[in-house]
Amino acid sequence: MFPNGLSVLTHIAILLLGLSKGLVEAVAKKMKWDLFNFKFNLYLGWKIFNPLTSEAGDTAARRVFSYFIILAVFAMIISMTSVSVKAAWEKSSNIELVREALTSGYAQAKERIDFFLIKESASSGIVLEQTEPGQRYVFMLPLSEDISSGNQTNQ
Amino acid sequence: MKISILIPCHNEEKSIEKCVESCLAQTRKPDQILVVNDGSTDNTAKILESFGDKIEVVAIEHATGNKSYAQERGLQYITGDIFVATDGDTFLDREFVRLIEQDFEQNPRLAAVGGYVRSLKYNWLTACREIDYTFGQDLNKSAQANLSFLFVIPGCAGAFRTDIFRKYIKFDHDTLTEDLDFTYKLHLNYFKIKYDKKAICYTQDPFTLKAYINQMRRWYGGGWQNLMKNFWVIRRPANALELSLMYIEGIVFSACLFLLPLINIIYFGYFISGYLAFAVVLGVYSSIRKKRADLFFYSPLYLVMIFINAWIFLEQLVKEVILGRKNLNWFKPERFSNDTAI
Repeated sequence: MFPNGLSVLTHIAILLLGLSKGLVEAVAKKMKWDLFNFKFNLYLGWKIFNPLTSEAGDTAARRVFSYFIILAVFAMIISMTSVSVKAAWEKSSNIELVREALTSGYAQAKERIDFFLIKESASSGIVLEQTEPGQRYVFMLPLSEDISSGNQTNQ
Repeated sequence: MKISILIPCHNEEKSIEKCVESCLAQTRKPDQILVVNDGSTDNTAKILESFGDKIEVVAIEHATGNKSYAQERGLQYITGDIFVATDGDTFLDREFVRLIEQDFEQNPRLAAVGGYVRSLKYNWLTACREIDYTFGQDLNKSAQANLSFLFVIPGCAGAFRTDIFRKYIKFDHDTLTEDLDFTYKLHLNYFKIKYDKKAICYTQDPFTLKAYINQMRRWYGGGWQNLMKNFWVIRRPANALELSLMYIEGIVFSACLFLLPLINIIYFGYFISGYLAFAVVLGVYSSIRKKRADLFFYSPLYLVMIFINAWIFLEQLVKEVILGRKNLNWFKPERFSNDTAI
């Protein structure tokens, strides 16, 4: 229905099994390896294909074996998915990303405010820019004046 | 062996002529071509008249609203040992009937044959559908054939042994996808179904997003309806394996597609990049296989289709299975002229 991981792999595996079965049968027939062909079919047919494609009247044990394989396959899907989702959750999940953004944003803001508060004219201006350490430029803008008329203080 | 072709149609003036011509042009001439005109209000009836006695027409005065009613009516007049079920918007490859006959002759235990469907070229949506068909039929259906469990005999490319069909398949008209219902019923009775990749038909697929969404709602809604109706088809292990791969993995995949961006946007980015690469690989394969370069260029858009499909798959799961709202409204998409398609 959807081309996704396990179904693609399973279908490729089934196709390869079918092809290999056909190939071995053809080679064994050509080389007259009757015993080999018989044993091969006994193995691949009885162990893999026949239990899966069993028809009415097949033994209960073989069916249980087939369902066991299917359940194992789906246990794999569920466990792989849950492990991946858990990893996605633990390693910088969206919540972590948001928390990080908020924390770093808070730290930056706090640094700016601390810097701003050490100025005597703190009540009359706003910090607009901070550059490299040691060369921090602060634009002190009196709140009552227009931005274009703001003075520049060099620390 | 006598072979009939059954074509139900409703307002198919744009495509019915080419459909019937393709049936008449078969290398192995069918013994009967029966068209059921299901209350068409356009020029379909006139076009059918122009074929004279080359075809038989069963006219239903008022549209039944569901293809399965027209098929049921038509089946009463079928005289062939085998009948090919196709649609009015489809045309068959010249070898279709010959190959089908060969399949039934080689295996007298065969109850039905499913053919290979190709989507007619129109725009990006039909190109993405062709990629989907290529992947679904070349990989999934071929594997299903190895497991002796063909998931569905396509409604536009199926052939059935008439006596088995009459005896074992009852028209219930209680699901949206009658072809899936027929197939499940055959599996429940352990009949042999063959997948013949060489028996090709060309069909029209929706070319607008609205029509596409409506068709997917019908397909997935019908899929859930039929799974619930014929649930014990899983008593055969291969069927259980295939249906689990389709439905259980389908739910996990669709849920991940919408939940992953909420859990971790970075992982979602990786996932989408990987899937995009996969879609391009599918596009390359399809364009080589079908000798159509446009399939490669449109392949990134296949991702859009997957999102739409996943959403509708979950939507129909909720509606049909959890809420139990059984929708039986048939939707008929707009057609384009078969002459414009390549």
